[in-house]
Amino acid sequence: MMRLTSRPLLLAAGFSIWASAFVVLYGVNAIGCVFTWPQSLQRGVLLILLALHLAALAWLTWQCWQQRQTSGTAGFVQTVGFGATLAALAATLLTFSPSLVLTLCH
Amino acid sequence: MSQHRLSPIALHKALERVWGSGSGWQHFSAVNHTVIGRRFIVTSLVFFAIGGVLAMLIRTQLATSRSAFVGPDIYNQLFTMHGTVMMFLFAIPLLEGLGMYLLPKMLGARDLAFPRLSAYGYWCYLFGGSIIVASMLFGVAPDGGWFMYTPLSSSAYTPGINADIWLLGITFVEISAITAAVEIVVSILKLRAPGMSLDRMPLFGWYMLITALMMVVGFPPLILGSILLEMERAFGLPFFDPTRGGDPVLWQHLFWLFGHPEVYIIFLPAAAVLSTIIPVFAQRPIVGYRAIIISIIALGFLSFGLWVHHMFTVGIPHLALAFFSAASMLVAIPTAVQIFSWLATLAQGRPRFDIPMLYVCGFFVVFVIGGLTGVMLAVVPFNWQVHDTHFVVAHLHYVLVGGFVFPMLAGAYYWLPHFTGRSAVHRLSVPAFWLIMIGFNLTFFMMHLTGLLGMPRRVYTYPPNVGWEELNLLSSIGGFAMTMGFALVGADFIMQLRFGRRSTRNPWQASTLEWAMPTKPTSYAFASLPHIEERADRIDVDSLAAPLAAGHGYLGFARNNRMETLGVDMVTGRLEHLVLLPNRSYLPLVSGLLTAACVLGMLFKVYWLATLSALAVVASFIAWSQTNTVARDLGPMDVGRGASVPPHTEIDGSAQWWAALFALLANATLFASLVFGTLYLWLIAPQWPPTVIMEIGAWGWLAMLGFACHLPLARRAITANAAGKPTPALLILAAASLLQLAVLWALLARVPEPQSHAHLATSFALLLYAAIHAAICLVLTINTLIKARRGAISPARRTDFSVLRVWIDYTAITGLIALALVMLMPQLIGMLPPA
Repeated sequence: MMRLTSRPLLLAAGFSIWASAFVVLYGVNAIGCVFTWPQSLQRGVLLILLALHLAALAWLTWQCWQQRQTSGTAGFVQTVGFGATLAALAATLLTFSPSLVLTLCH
Repeated sequence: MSQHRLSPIALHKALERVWGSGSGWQHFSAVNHTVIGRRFIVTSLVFFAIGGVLAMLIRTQLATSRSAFVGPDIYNQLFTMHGTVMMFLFAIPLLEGLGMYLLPKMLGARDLAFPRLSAYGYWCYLFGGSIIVASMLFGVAPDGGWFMYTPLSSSAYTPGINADIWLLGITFVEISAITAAVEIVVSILKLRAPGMSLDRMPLFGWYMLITALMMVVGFPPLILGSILLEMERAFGLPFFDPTRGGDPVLWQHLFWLFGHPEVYIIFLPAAAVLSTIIPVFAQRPIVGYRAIIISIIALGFLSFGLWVHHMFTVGIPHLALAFFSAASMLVAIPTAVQIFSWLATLAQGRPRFDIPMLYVCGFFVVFVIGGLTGVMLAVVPFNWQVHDTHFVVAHLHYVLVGGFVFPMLAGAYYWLPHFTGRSAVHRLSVPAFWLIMIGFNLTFFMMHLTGLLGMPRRVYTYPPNVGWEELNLLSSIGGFAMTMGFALVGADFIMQLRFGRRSTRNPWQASTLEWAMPTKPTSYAFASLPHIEERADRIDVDSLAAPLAAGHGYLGFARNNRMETLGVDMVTGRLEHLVLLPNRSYLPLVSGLLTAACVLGMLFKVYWLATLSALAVVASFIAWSQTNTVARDLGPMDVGRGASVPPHTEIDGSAQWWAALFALLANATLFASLVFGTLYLWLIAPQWPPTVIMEIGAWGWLAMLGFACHLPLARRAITANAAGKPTPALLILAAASLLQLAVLWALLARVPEPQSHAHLATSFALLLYAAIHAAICLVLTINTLIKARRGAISPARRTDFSVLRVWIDYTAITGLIALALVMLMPQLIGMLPPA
């Protein structure tokens, strides 16, 4: 069986998690604002969801690092997959960190 | 059995008989990628010329204040058509045409995976584009801006057919884009030369792969938006009407969900051209091959997280704006990685300058300026200040002309010897470049300034003495200079075609496979296919060409009047199967004409014609399927170099199966957009909750049960085929789909007045989606049944069953989701806070 980090879908996995974070956080923010959730509740939910996505990305990055190879097509997939996942981790942190501080519904 | 080896000349003649496009009227039956790619490119250039003339008319009007050149009605049509033609009829089709022409040649294949689909896409593009452009002759061209914002484009404010022409014409053209995207993705993944693993693929292939995937996901939201707006205009379903529970901002979301990725869909193929050309002229391999691939993947995703930066002023909460603002700035990083890789390649190489490099240098200057103003526009407060001013017009032209037109001109000069077999004349090339470069900057740099001075876009006139006159005059002078430059480029191309000397086969000393063939290319591309043992942008082309022409590679023969190429494992490039392609056919043209009749029927509200034409299109597709069959099991077949592999009909995971999967990915995006629209209106739109609520009760449960039954029935049909007796199982499946269609039809009839409120309109749309897919399953099942009866399917030849199963699974899953959402809506509406 192919290892997780040898599959070509790995190339898209990291940024798929980023996309999931985008849809979920944007959607929850809209729902929270329409249903007038208390600010602390909404921020708490947003931060938990962000933390879950960051944790998934950190785990995936670690797996790529652990199982890295340097040669052949598998090595190529792992190297590029690792780079893309790491970039997705940084992008997730930067894109959604405003959830920590900004006003939520104005 | 090994094939008898022919002399190179005899091999050429034998292959040409199979692959050639014929003569005279037979040209209308051409499906060859070289012919179709050229047609896309030439047609897109004709539309570019039309768009350019429109731009000149715009600049003539704006050259002076209070100009009486054209009035507001005509001016509205001019700028709408300029944007529409350039984006939908020039840029996208040009990149598709370039991809179609080059990809098989660069990847070592004889053609794309679905030649008839390429041809159908071309006819859709030609007919759809012609309908849109012809509307100008009758004075009814679209006039609501190239992004057709509602409510301006709704029937209340645009009662004529202007907006309908845009909505139906563009949807028609988008069919072409989606077919091309699926074609390109599958061809790159499955139809490469043996040995070309992912890590040996040239960057051009990587760029086009990501671009095509972005098209698969990016275009459906606009297609859905256009369908919904046309349903609102034609039948009164109020998706965007705020007085009946709709919301105009939903249109903006659906449009820009397509519209922003579109910018990168246009840029990435241009970057592919640069990544191919720069190493050739730097005389060294590209620096940062893997970093570039990571950047393309990042761009592919990040570009879908920016769409709201076109909507910063519509009143979205600050936190959401911050997400989009951050993503808009982040996207500059992978773009910069590519730019630095190209610069590093030049810095570490021994650059030689020729005409393509002039345009590469022009690209660096213009695109970087456009990128920097893009980062400025990503900052929300600045964006508010310059929103809808000429600053935005300047920015988008710097990005699109810098990031697309300049690289494409570089590519044109680079590949023209390949297209024509002739070398460049070059007397006109240098002055043409400088006219374009100086003219472009004079035109659009001034617009930054007029924009900062407050000049709004899309105004047909402006008063004197507000400080805009001189700048506008300079813009117009620059515009005319740029046009003269483009005219010189056109003349230069004609000169090369007419008077250029015969080119050598590899005039630039390039290292990619498209130069390992005769130029101009033969219909079959390669006389035999290579085995790739190194990265495919470092190939010693000159020593490879002769053995391939002599038939020493794979498939160095013509067999049974069949067009044959090879399929590989998508990751490792291991030789996997033989692909039997369909021969030339008039069917794509017939299907295109019937589709055009359907569009015209809807445009002029002759619905019987539209319905009959749609049914005829379906019948023509069945004819496609029935005319490319294999009558018996073939087993492993000799493909040369001592290898034998089974044909595509006798394997799992064939190109057909992957195409079905990617078509369904596009379909799933459209469905997800519909679900998003339904929930968006529920959550955000005014005039909710509605007074009448849709309850479907027991009928809904019955329809859900019907969809759930389809899943095991499809599996049973596959098992029955494996046992050699598929007919009874297919008959049961067809009956189940027919029954399901009847139940959904009854459900649609139970929707009370869908024109009265967006809740009912979205419920109607969801049920309609499920019903259409049940009908598609019925058609696919009947098609498979006919094939089974004709002996075109066997336990070994099982591709049709794998395609049928994936469609039925998709229909069942999306049908269940659609029904569940419709049934849940009353509860969701009950949860809404009071208005």
